[in-house]
Amino acid sequence: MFCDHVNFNLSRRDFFGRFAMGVGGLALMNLLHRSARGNPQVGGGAGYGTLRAPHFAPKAKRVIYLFMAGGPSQHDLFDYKPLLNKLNGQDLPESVRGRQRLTGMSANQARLPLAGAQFKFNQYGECRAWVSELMPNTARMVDDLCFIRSMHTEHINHDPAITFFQTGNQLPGRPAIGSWLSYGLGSANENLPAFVVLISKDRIDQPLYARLWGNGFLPSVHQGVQFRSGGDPVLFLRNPDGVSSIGRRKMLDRLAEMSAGQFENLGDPEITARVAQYEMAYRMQTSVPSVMDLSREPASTYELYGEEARQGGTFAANCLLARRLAERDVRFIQLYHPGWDQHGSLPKMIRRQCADVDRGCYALITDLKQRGLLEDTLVVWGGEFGRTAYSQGKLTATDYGRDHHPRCFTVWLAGAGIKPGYTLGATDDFGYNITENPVGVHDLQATMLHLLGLDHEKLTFKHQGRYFRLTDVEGNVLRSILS
Amino acid sequence: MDSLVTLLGRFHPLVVHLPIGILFLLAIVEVFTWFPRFPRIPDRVRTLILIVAAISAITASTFGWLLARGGEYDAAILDRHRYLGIAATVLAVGMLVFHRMRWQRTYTVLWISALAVLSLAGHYGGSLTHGSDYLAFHFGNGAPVADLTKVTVFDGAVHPILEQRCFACHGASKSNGELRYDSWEALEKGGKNGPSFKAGNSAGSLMIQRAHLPLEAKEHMPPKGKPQLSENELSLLEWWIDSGASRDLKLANADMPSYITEMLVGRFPGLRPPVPERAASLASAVELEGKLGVMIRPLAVDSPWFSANARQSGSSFGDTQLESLAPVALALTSLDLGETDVTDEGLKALVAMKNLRRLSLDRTRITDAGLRNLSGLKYLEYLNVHTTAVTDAGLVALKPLKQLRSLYVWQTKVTPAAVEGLSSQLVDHRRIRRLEDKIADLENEIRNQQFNANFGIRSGPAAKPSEKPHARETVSATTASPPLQP
Repeated sequence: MFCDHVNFNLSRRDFFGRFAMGVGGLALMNLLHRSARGNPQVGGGAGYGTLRAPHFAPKAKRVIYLFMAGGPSQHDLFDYKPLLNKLNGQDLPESVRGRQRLTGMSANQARLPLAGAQFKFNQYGECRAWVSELMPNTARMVDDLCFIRSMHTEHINHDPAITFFQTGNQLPGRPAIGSWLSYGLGSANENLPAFVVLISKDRIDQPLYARLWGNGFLPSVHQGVQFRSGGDPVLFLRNPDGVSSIGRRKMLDRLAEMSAGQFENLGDPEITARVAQYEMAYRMQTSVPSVMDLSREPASTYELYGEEARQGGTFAANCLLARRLAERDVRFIQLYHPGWDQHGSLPKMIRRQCADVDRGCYALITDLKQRGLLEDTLVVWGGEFGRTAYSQGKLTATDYGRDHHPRCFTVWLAGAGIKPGYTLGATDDFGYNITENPVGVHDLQATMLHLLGLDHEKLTFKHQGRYFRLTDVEGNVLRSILS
Repeated sequence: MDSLVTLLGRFHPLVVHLPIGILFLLAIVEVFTWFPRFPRIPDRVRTLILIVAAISAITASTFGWLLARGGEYDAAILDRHRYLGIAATVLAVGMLVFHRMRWQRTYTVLWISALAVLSLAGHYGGSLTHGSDYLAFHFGNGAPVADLTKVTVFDGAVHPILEQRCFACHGASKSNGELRYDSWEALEKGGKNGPSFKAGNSAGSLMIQRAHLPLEAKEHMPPKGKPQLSENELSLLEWWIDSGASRDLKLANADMPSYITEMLVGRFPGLRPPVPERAASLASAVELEGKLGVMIRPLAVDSPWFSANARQSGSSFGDTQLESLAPVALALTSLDLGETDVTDEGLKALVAMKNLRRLSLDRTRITDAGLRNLSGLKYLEYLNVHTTAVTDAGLVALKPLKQLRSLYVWQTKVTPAAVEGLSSQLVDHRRIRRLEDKIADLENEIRNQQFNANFGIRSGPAAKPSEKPHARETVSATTASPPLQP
């Protein structure tokens, strides 16, 4: 389970015994660290965070963040703009764009022809929310969702934009939302990490770096742990060939004895912490396979999530896993579904993307609801920015592309503490600028923390002489969407 | 310096009673001097009294002004008190001046005015200190009553309302409509239109019907212009009638919905179970966590309420472990026993957890019998029994849970009809209707306010919102160099 080079790395990172990620042993070490909090000499009672309790009574116990990496087109999904169909092919009026910059990818286009969505829109539910035909299942549950049509971000390229969404800053090096939660609130399940990441396979178009679920300057205990869809879910957790479970147990017992002696000599609390971490990893040898094992899910599960949920690494399968992790009180469950970066051939590509996620989202919300979990689980759906109202590249009768558009896009939230069947914000008739209630990324983050019982201005960590927080120096809780 | 000023200001309540006392005593003596047999006050004595009164009044006013700078008072009442107080001081000085000038009539007018002004100033001063509703009736006021077994609902809650709102016309001094409420017998008998209430039926009770008539209606009670029943008072009367209009029911035995409890709890603190002490609960929680391996955590940093989660313990958490949660029973508001090994028998431990708001029992072996232990959990809002053997029959035990808002019965034998039936019993439709009316009123008020605001902008000097861009252009045109003429 452990090897020397991992130990070597850990001393490089922090001389006094703080652990670091081995090249590949990353996930394992994370898991091990988590139980540092299980040691009273290190962090207090089992599973406590830095805060002994939330700032105020939380509405949400956990978050499932369905991240649509690449930037889904709001024009083709949720933000219905009939004017674009009327003016299809005409140039975007100067007055709408003003002097706002474009990305390098479409700034040199001779024309910016407006592209109306080629999909039918309808109003659904009691809230009469507009949803396109691409999302038939999402349309069925609009009365459980809260749409924010006026999200905007500062960043126009994938990496800074997605980093901004996940860590509150465009530059790498800040902790991810899940890491902040793990740091502040600790883990609610001794046997699993507080922050788990699941990524859909086969849809990668823009890279998703491990630093998006990194701990930044927080102790590495708080890093997100990716559960892989094939092979070992967590690397290096399984006993190597030839090592039996009994042998492992005996080894750990003997190691604990030796560590106890060492602790008597040196009195370094990290020694007992390490023993606790070994024990945690040992428990995870059973807890992780049990959460990943879908064989006992009844047929009704697959009727809900679809047959593709049987296939590891699909979005549907990850939604099912997210529900299983939520049931086990994992605090932050981060899904990534890449493939939304449709600069060209959007109509064709977005169909496939929507087919990937639509049913999974519906199944997840429905499943959480019937199990009574939606009341204390916050679900967030959205990408890092939106897409342009005009076509990138050539607009034809059946085809168009859309470039990055950070000035307005749509996300939805559901569950704990969120007003269901509600829409916040509005955009102009071109879907280019926000006309009502703009929502910044820090506002969304502040709201997420608020629902978890945290004051985003008070959850801080001192680093390089400054107190840092997820929302930097901004962020207002979106009180109007709270139930 | 500022703190000295503040300190001096604090002496206002002390000093202020000096001129009040002097002027009132002087006024009394002046009245007596109108009687021929009463000796006259020597002029120099009167002058001395007036000097002391004037000086103390000026001092009191000054200190009062300093105290007001703190700004902790209701501005409207403060202003009235301030100017009446100054007026009283001016009158006191005036009395001294006109007495010395021997303008006897003016002096008399002044001291009578001073008396009136002082009374009013004193009233507003009292309102500032004690609150403007000090003299008004409130459930929350009056000495708190500890022993709920000695006070009936009628005496403690209903009678005070009748006394406040009805006795003036239906009591000892007047009995309009041959109706008197000042004794139980008379109340029960009713007036010339028949009895005032029908026990168990507030909607059919005359007194409630009259109260619900529009204010303008001739038969509306209390009549227009008289102090009206507040929303709370009306709710309380209705609840009392609906629950049987008992004369003898003690507060301790009354089964009241939470909104009634909220109204009465100021006067009868015992109606709300005591808040458990946080430190003690925390100590027990930490100990139990270590022993049982379940999470027992405070809801928030300063909250006395705790949540316990045994789900991750699974089958190693059973009835014995549940029973051992007794030390934190009253502190728990949220308990997750899902997927554990608890049984119907073990749920008896829940009876003591009177403050529970959330309870998860999903995927356990419990049955309808176990749910009977929940009947006393009157704050329960969330109950999860999905994937258990619970049936329609089990829901009967949930009828007393008036706060229940979420019930999860997925994968049980419970039928939609039974859930529908339960929910119709739990919902207080009349109260919802009344709250809806209230919302409509508030919305109207918002519309009126918005209309006024819009109106203000239109009539004011500011440009219409739509004209603003033009206004800005004009400004920039004048500051920039003038455009060239073609």
